[in-house]
Amino acid sequence: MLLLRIRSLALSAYLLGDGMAVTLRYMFTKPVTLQYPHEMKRLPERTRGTLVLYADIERMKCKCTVCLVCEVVCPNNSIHIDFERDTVNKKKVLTKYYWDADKCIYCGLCVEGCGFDSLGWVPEFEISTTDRRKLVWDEKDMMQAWLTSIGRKDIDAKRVDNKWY
Amino acid sequence: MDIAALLASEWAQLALYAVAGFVLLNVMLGIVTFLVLMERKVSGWMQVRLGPMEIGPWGILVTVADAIKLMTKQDVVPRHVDRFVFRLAPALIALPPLIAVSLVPFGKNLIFADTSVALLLVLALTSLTSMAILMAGWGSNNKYSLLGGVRSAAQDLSYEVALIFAALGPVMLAGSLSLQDIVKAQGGVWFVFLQPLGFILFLIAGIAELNRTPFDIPEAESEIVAGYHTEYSGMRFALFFMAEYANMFLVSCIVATLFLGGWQGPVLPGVLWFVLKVFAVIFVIMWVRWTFPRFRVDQLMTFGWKVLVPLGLLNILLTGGVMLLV
Amino acid sequence: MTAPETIAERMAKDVIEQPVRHEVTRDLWTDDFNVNIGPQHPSTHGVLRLVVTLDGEVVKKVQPYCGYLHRSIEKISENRTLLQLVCFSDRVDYVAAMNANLAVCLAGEKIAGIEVPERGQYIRVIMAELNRIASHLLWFGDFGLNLGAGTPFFYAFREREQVINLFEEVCGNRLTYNYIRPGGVAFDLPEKWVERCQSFLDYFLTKLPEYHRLVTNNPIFQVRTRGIGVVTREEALNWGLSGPSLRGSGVDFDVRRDDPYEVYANLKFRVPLGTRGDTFERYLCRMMEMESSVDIIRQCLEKLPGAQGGHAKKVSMLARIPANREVLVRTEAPRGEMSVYMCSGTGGPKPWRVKYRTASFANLAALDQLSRGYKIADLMAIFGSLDVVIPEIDR
Repeated sequence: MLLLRIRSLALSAYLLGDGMAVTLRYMFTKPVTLQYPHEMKRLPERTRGTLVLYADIERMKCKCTVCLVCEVVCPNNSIHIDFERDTVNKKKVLTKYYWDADKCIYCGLCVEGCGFDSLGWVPEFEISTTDRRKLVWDEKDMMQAWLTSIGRKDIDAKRVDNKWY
Repeated sequence: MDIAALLASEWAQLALYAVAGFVLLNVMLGIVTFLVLMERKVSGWMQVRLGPMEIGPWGILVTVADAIKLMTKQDVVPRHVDRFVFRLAPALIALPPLIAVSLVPFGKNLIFADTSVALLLVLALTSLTSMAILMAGWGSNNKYSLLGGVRSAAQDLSYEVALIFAALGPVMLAGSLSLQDIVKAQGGVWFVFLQPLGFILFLIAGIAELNRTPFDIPEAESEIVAGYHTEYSGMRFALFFMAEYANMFLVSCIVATLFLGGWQGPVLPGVLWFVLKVFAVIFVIMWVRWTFPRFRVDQLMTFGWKVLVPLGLLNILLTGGVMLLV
Repeated sequence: MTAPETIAERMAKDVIEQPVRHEVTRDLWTDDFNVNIGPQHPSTHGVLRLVVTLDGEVVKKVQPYCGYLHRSIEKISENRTLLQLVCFSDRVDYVAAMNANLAVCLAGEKIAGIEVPERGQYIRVIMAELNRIASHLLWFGDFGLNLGAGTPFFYAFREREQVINLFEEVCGNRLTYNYIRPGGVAFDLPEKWVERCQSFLDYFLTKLPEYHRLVTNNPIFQVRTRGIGVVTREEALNWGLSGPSLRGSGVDFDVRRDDPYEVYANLKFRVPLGTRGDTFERYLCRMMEMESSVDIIRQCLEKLPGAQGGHAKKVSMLARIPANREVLVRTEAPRGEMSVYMCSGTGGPKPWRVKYRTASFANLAALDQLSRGYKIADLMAIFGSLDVVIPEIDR
């Protein structure tokens, strides 16, 4: 009986020591932390960062044909489009394209639904402001976001492949 | 004026003690500051991350920032607390470790107060901490705090017994309660080799006295939010925080003194050996904290009374027996 | 007919009973007292209020108050097309969003009669099992935290980060995926994803033994979880538990094997079964389920058919639900059985009613019975072992 107790005590001590060995080993391995403002993770292509409108650079206009699919398919009513009917050419003309970055749930249905390749995602997630009203973007903001995201060499330089195995 | 007489007079002695005490206090506060940083960094490295990095190069100024934050916070005293007890508790918990450090031998001639009953005094002072925790738990007028305080009182009481039994081994080997004598008796071989069981017991009982995981039921974050110091904020909380790390330093000093040979060591100066040993013990205490889950209250009490106390008695028996035969 | 009582009135009636007095002697007694483990708490895995009646340290009664995270997902779903519904199912259980997506899509396909191509089915099973691993990793970390161990949480999240990265490469989001759609999946797998998935699985299998060394074999952990919160077979069946909470009590039932959906009928996998029904058995069931999920994913990756034309998008955008149909679809989510009931009134693109039967809701109901007589520290262990997430309870 006593021998059993001593054996179980010894076994417990060994198992406790084994657990401590695991923790000690990790103390000497490279940490997995990415120091955020100085190092940024390389984001995959399909990342849903910020919604942008692709712009036709020469004419500085967006390619949106006001088919209204994105507004209808949005589950959250985060997109609101103002348009005028051009009765001469029998087309709709975009006046304002509002996207509420605050309400949006970043589901991507609008981008998938757009048949004219004018909406897209860019891997830019630092769009927070101190004023909520500034988070309602119009089409100029969205095109600007796309243009700024194309050549961000400073951010690209910081991007790191965070993989440790 | 006779300079020699002046210097030898009691006033000079008192002034010297006052200055030395002030220096010791500041050294202790500095050590506590360093320990908070060490805990955060060591826990970070064990958890495959970096710990604080932004404040100061490699995060070394983080405790300073913490201290400033805590000192500038609003001092909230909840409405129906027991005012006297509530206010006394943080002070009462922060003082004993600061006092007890003065009894510890840092080097061959580097001890603030060399009394012949130093170990007894140190153990008595650590008991004051448990009273302060009970006061904090009661005085906060909060069910969570009361639970935490009562649990802590029970726990501290049980592990005091185990602590004292484990500490009796080196006392028997050295033949004196004075910490300086115990260190001097380890000139040949450190007591940890003569008393391995006593060392483990004292370390475990010491961690339990500190209320650290796996024995941190009184401040079990996941169950009762923050236990006995739930209602404290600002500077009062800073005192609790400081007391925990000062206590940790004190217990490590005692472990190093009783078992690891204090300032004894071949080449380097005594103080350096002492510091190395103390920080090694502190590292082990932190390592244990971040590896194990915590005990439940009744399991803790069972472990204290049914495992540690019999082993402590066994240790005394064996030590006495071997001493008699050899 | 009297007006239905408001929630406030009912809560006022639902008074905590008078505290029971336990007499030691005529002059010495203790009272039961109520402790509020409030909506904001480090251990309730979300916003859940538990009012615990304690006699000293012993739990006498636990009353959960849920509803702090109610977002009326089911009501909102009544006014959304099948395609838009899926976004909301992400939020029903955001820890295992792929499984929730899958459940809703199966219901939508069954009710509207949509076929899913075989490659789509295999991809969905891969995603569901990967998300099972991620969900169990999160549970494992949280369980350690509940018990006081700080480090397993970080190790678990290091592995979970890899799974989330894989998901990000596939669909673009890290938590609410909106990837599994009625008719298949949203996009095909990107280049070399299969290789990355394989290398993750190899890496993950080397980490599981470490979790066992750190937590499972730890004597303190064993003493905290063995014999705690025992559920017998009959009790488990009566309470309607499901998933690892049920299998830990010895009831050998797994929806993937016994009522197979998607391609689970073609896959061979082990379903871990416990015997004693205590916390430790439930814990061990979940740990072994992670290994079995790795097995499933490996089989699926081998059997993955070649790429076929993707028609999921067109199908799901134009889907219309026929009138007067109702379906009930059962899936095995990481927490237990997740069923979706969908019915259509007069037909059209939007369903009339979508109901989610989530495992956490049923498992939470058993908490009171399970924890009576144990101590308050055990309550946390039991609650952790039931793997309850609040978004599933409140929807």
